[in-house]
Amino acid sequence: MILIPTSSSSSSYSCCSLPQASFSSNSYPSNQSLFLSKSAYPIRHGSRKLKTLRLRANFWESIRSGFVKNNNNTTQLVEPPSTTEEEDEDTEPLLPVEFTLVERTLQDGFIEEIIFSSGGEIDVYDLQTLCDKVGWPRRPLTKLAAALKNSYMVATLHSVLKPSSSSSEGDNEQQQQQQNKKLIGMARATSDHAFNATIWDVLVDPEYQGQGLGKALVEKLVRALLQRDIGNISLFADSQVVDFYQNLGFEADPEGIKGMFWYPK
Amino acid sequence: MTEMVFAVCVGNASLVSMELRWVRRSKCDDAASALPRSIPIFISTLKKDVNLEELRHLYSRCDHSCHRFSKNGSGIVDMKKLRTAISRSDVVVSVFCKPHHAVLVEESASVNDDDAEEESLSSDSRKQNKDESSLGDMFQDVLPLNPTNGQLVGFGRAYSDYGLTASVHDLMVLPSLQRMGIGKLIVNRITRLLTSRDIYDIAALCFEHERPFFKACGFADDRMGSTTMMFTKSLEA
Repeated sequence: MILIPTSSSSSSYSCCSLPQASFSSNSYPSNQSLFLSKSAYPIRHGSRKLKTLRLRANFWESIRSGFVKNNNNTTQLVEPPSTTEEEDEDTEPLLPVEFTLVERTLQDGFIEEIIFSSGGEIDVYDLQTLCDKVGWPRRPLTKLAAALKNSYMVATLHSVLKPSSSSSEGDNEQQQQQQNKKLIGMARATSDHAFNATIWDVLVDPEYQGQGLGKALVEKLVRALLQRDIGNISLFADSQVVDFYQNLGFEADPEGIKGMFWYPK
Repeated sequence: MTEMVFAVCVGNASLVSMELRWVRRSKCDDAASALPRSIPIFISTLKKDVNLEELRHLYSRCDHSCHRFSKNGSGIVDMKKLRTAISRSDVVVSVFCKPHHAVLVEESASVNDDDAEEESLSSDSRKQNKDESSLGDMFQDVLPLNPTNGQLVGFGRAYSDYGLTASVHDLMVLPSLQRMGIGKLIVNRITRLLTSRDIYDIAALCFEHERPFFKACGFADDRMGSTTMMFTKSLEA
C-alpha cells in the first residue's frame, strides 16, 4: 500500500491513497460527470460496466478536489461558495465515452475489437508496461496515477479478444473478456477548462502502430477539446513525430510561439 | 540573498500566500519616470484575491489575449470562461500596488510599450526611498497595502496535472510598471509553488519577444529537442 504523507511540510502528492493492485475508484478525472448518467452511451462487449457506486464516490471526490486543490499545501484556500456554484454550472461534465473503433477477425478465429474509451479506468501498472514497450523512461507510479487522475481528458485504446463463436452474454464470457482486455494506446490532455490545453503522453503499442490508431486517438481528443471551445491546443513533439502531428492539423511554432521549460540551476 | 517580508504570513513558513515586498527600478530608468525608486507591492497566491473585472481590465491594458491566435476569438475576454480558467488553474499569482503609483506612471510618458521583455533586475534591494510627493501621497504610503485597496498590476497563472507536468499562462505586468522585477517575481512564485508539489516539468508558451524574459527567469528551450506545435486547423462544422 502506498502511503501518502499528509503533513504540511511534505511536498505534495495528491492526498488520496492509492490501492496497490489497480487504480480503481478514484481513477476518473476530477471533473467527471457529477450526475449519474444512466447509460447515456451503450456499453459494448468487453467493457466494464460503470458502476453507479463508483460514480457516486467520485461525485464527492470531484467536489472536494474542485474546492481544495491540495490539502497538503496550506496556501491554497477554499474558494468562496458563490463562485464554485457557478463553476459547476459552467463546466460541462465530461461524460465517459466508449465505443468500438475497429473490429477484425484474426487467423485463429478470434475476433479482436479495438475499443476507444475516454473517462474510463486505467490501470497504472498496465500503463507502465506500455510505456516500457515504447521505450519511455520510467516515471514514479504515484505521480503517474495523480497525473492521470487530474488530467482534463484521458483517452485510451484497449484491445479485446473474443472467440468468434460467441453466443450469449453469460458471466463467464464477461470474465473471459476482461482477462483478454489489453491496453494498447493512450493520450491525455491537461487544461484550464476554458482556453488552453496541452496534450501529453501520446503512445500506441508498437505492435499496433501504423494502423491509424494513434491518429484516431489524437483526433478524437482534439475534437472533444474543440467542442468545449478550448482553442489553444498545444503539444511538444519529438522530432520523429512532427510530421504525424502536422497531418492532424498541428503547426510547428505557429506565429513564433515556442515552448520553454523550466530548468533549475 | 536576504528576503524581507513585512506582512503576516499565512500558512507554511516557506510557502507564503500573501506577501508585501518592495520592487525597485534600475538606475537608468530614473530620470524618465515619475515613479519613486522603490514601490511596495503585494503578492497574493489566493484565488479569492482575483477580481475578475480588474483582471479583464489588466488583460486589455497589457494587450494580452486569452486566445493565442486572433482568429480564434475576439479581443474581448469572455468572463465566464475566465472565471472557469482561474478556478481551474492550480497556481494563480496576483500582484497589487498602491493605486496612486499605478496612476502616476500612467500619466507620465511610459518608457516601455507593449513589450513584456524584462531584464533580470535585482528586486532584492529593500532600501526604502522616501519620495518628495504631496502630503496626500505620503498618507497613502503609510496605509498598509492589501488586495482590496491595491490595484492589480501583475498576474500569472499555471495549470497542472498535479503529478508530472504544468503549463504557465497569461503572464502579464502593466506596461508602465515593467522592468522592475515584478514579472520575474510572479514567475518565481509560480515555479516555487509547483516545485513544492513536486512538479518539475513546467512549460511556458511564449512569443518571440517574450523569450528573453523567460530565459532570465530560468526557462530554456527543451533539452530533449521537442518541437512546440499548436492546433491551427479551423473546426469543421
